[in-house]
Amino acid sequence: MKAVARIALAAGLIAAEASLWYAYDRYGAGFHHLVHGLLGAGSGLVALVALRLGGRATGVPPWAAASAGRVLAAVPDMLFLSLDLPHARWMDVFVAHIAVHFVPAALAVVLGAFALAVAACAAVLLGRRRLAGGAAALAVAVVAVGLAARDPIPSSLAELRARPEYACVLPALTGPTGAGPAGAG
Amino acid sequence: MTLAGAVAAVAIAAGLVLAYALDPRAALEDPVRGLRQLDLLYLDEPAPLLERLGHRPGEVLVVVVCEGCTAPAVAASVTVTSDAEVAAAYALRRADGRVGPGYALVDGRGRVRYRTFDPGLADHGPEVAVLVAALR
Repeated sequence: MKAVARIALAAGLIAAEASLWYAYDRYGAGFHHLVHGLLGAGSGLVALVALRLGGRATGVPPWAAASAGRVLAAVPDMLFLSLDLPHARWMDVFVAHIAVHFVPAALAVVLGAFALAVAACAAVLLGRRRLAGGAAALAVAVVAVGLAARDPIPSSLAELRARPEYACVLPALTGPTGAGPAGAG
Repeated sequence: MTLAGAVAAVAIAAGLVLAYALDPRAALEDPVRGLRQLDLLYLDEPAPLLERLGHRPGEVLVVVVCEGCTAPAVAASVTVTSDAEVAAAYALRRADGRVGPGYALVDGRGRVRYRTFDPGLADHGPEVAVLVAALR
């Protein structure tokens, strides 16, 4: 790909991601943007690695695989914003969109998985097939363990009252109105 | 993808996560803390203390629990309360004993279907509206 095309592609991807960030940030949902973005992009890369190890998708560049995964993970939020469709448990088909919220230290987990997925992709492109397979498998394992360790979604007010972590212990909430720092939410 | 590109991608992602984690807003946005803004109707039980909240059968009610806040602009019945007992009943009492800010959604049958803390609820009318519409 020529340099100008590369720059244009990079600019387009950055602009698209920035517009997504703005859409999330309007609702104080930066956490969601990062979690779904990293998990989705990482999943796309792992899928590409798996296909390449099987001798397929050799013409698909990593940025396309990562972007496809990223978009897939954000579908429920796009449905919410554009079609007024609330989230539902079945939306876990979109890269564990609901379940990932409840993974312990979710941001750290998806960041680690993303790093492993990137390493796997680089390895497969460099012909290091065993390393690629190992890194990809480890990325999947990290997410799988995180999902297995997650708490279930509460189903009653009594359950919410009984769990201190749902009582909003945030020190950043101050003042009589509970208003947070400027720009919050 | 070159090795340099891979390192750059991970470094950028890590930088974004770190920048976010250091932002004071980050603690407010964790969806598990206070089960914030999950946007999934995860409750379905009789709404407590309805007699205090002005619920009319057949109508969706937004119960806003906070001290001196502005309710979100939404086309539905809205009750704003700082009643500590209501806050406790709807699990919107903070660990420091303060009330909200957050809200619960009660459907036309008088069943609570959703509850969330939301420090920015005054600006999140469109988000609330989607959930209210789903309850009609």
